[in-house]
Amino acid sequence: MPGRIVDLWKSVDKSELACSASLAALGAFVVWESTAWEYMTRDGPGPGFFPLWIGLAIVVLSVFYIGFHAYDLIREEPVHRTNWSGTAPVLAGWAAFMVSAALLKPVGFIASFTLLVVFLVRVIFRRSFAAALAVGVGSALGFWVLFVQLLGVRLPTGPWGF
Amino acid sequence: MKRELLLVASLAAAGVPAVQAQGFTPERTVDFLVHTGPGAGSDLFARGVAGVLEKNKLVPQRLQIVNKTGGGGLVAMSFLGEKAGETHMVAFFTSVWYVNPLIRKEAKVTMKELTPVARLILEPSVLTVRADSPWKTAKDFVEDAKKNPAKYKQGGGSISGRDNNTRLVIQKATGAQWQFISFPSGGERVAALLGGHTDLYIMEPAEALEQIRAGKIRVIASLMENRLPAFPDASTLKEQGINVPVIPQPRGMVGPPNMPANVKAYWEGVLGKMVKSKDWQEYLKKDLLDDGFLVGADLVKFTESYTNQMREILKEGGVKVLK
Amino acid sequence: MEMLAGLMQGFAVALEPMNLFWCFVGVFFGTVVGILPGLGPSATVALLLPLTAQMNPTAGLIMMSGIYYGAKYGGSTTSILLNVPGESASVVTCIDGFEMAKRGRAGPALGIAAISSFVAGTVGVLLLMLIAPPVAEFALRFGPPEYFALMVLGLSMVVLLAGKSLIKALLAMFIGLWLATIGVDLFTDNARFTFDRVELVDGVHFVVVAIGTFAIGEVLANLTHKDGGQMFEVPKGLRNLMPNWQDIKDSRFAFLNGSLVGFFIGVLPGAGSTIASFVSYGIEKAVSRHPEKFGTGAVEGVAAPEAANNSETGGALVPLLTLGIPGSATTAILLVALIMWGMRPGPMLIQDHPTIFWGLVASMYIGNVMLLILNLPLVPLFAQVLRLPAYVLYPVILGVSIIGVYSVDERLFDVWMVGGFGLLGYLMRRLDYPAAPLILGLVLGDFMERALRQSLMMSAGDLSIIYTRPMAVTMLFLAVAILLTPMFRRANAWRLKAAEQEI
Repeated sequence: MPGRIVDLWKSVDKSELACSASLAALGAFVVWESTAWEYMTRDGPGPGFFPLWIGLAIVVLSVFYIGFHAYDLIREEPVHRTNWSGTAPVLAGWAAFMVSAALLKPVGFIASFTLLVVFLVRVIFRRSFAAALAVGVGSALGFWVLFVQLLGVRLPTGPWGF
Repeated sequence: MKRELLLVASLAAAGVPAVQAQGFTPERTVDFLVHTGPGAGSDLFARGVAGVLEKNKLVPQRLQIVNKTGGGGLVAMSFLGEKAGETHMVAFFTSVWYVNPLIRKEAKVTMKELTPVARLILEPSVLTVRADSPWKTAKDFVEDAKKNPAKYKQGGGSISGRDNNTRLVIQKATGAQWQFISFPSGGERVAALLGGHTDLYIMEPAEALEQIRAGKIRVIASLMENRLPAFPDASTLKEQGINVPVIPQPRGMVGPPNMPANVKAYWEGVLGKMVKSKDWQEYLKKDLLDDGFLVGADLVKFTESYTNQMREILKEGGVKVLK
Repeated sequence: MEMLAGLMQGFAVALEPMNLFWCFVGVFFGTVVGILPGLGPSATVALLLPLTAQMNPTAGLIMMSGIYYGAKYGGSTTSILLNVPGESASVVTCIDGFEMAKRGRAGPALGIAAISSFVAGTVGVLLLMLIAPPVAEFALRFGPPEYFALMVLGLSMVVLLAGKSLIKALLAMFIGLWLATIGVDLFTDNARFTFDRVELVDGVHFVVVAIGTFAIGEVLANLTHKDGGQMFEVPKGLRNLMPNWQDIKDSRFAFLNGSLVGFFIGVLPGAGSTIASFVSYGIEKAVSRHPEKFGTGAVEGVAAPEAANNSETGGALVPLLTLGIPGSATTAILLVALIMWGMRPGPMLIQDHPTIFWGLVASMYIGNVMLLILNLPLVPLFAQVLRLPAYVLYPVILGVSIIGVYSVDERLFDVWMVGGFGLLGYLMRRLDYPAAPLILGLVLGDFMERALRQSLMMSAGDLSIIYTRPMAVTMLFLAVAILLTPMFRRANAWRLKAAEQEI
């Protein structure tokens, strides 16, 4: 019996497990927070009513999910296997997006967006630097003309006025 | 500086142009910040003010309405709060600007830190029911509600709004009991009343005119000190023997924190002239509003007393008051 | 007869050269702002409000309504081409629309969107003209218990949006429901899950979540293909860039379904086109003979929500014109405009100002024809966008997303959030969680909670109010039926399998 549990532990999809665990934690957090608000008022459900049930549902469903996952493994049914190949460039791209979001305020839309695009095209897609610069400057200026000049959308500007 | 301001204020109130003396005139577009989306109360009011100012050429620059919606006014308040010393932006306040800091942890600025410039109007309100309902006066309704506690329903907005506060004071004075149901938009509130899902609705009279004309809604009481000219038959609560304080709904102009004195004086002067104009009087008449012009020391006093009054009413109603 | 006379009079008004001109200006502007995410019709109409004050009321109303329904035509473009939902009602269009684009059928998808917009837009006006007053009375009878039942019906669509695992879809939906509770509670003024941030007081804006999980998530997921060349095939030849006869035949029921659902949900104040688009998609999939094709580029999956989205306009004008009650953000601004022109919209508007009403109705027939003529030739043109290599197209998607999100409230906080939801979208893809139920929960959750609490306040806590009103019961029954279908299917499959093994 313990051997089977070790086997099960070995074969379970760790990402699914981690995901279910974090969802259950989120659900528990929602339930915990909801206890601060009234569950029932004189007139009907209070502000704590919905969050409580939503949180409980998240906890129950995530436990259920991992339970079914284990059950399928025991019956040797096919289960979903999470594939993380190629995640490194994705995280790099995401980090670049967040950095460029942080730069929006100090340097403005054109500069921060150009930097983001140059990084993506040069580093992630491995195109030449010239191509990267062309796409970056071109798209940033294109957006600027279309949205700011023609449509009057207000975008963050840098110290140099664009 | 304070004395100077008072002087300016009293001059402005007397209609003497004090503007040139202070040496400020807008040099570019002035932003009129409002906390509601287009079409809602504050937005309409700001557009009304801008319209009268432009028609009478009282401000030499363009006036632009900027909508910063969200958080029941909090977003606009904090936006203005971050613009300390800004000279080309003013906002339009209503009672929520006073109430929010009292009850919301997220509120970072209060009306005291901002620069109230002028109170412009007091918005009247009326108590209405569906035309086919049995009540002809507020008294009828209250008596009925006393016999049938928690049977009738009043539709309205947020529980910290004037409509619910009015309910609370009437309930306290008479011992009657009825429910309050929140709906997010005015349209949904009127629809709920017409559809028979709620029985009572407190509204600004301009909102109701057409429904009343079509015979769908009936006004059963004026919630002000006097009867309203538009509804001479609807008696006041006091006339009906219900003695409760009248809760005013002010609207006016407020500047950012540390608004330069000459900018404040400029607006006091301009608005002082505006409220004297024929167009303004017509605007008030058309939208059934009461003139409530107040600047300077009187406005400071009003800010103080109004905040206290709202705090008391909210506490009575069981809302958690933070400040 | 009276109606015919009214309509003739209306066409006489709408066909005046100046009114025709303003109608065209309106639908043209509408298409443009509809295509660009973040710029919605309500913002545009509000922006033009001061300009229209000087116009003649009929021309002004014709133009502003043109923007309103024109924007609905354009809304699907970025959903299909870039997986960027331009407005809330286009989220559903992304599901099958973008799948079609991936399979080289962007042209037919765009084409069917334009055609179903035209059909449904016209049906919406027709219904507005024929049955506005009785429908308005029906809308008034729709109280909180009915809204609650409608929202439950909407949420039951999660079953139809699920992929392989129903539990995962339910989890995604509950996360959406949780996101919907963020912000200040309308009934008690309690701030929930705001972490003392002003930006969260009004809740999480749905555009942020939709663009994050759909568009940014899509871009991130594709950064793994390192070559950055062309993403999808774009077939040559005009024939392949337009929907063929089979596509139109497949969409026949979707046109009808979407038109009716969109109109009747549009009539209800506050409900709106997002719910209509989800419900019509659900119905379409539920009655389809090949439900398994949905989510993999089914043409009906584009036609139904686009139709619902467009006939909603006709529906939303019903309470505005017959009762003076605005049901949506855009109609609220139209109300302001009417007041500005000195009219008092209310139960008497049609009697008092027949030229305005009939002129508007006639102009909407004309405007829809204009939009079809305007949009169909653009289809092959727009489809060419996908010829761009990935290293150009992805930056474009990111830029459109950043600007779209930022322009809603001009807040950097939203750009941060869209990044966060982008990462969430990527993780959901990898872990095989569907994104559509998340949006479904977010859009309907707020409504459902409000309606349930309003209902129980009406009945002083008595739950029977929900199951004793006929309309509410019918909808709840439908919802239960939809929720139970997969269980029946599973039980059936299991029984068949067991039977097979016995043999």
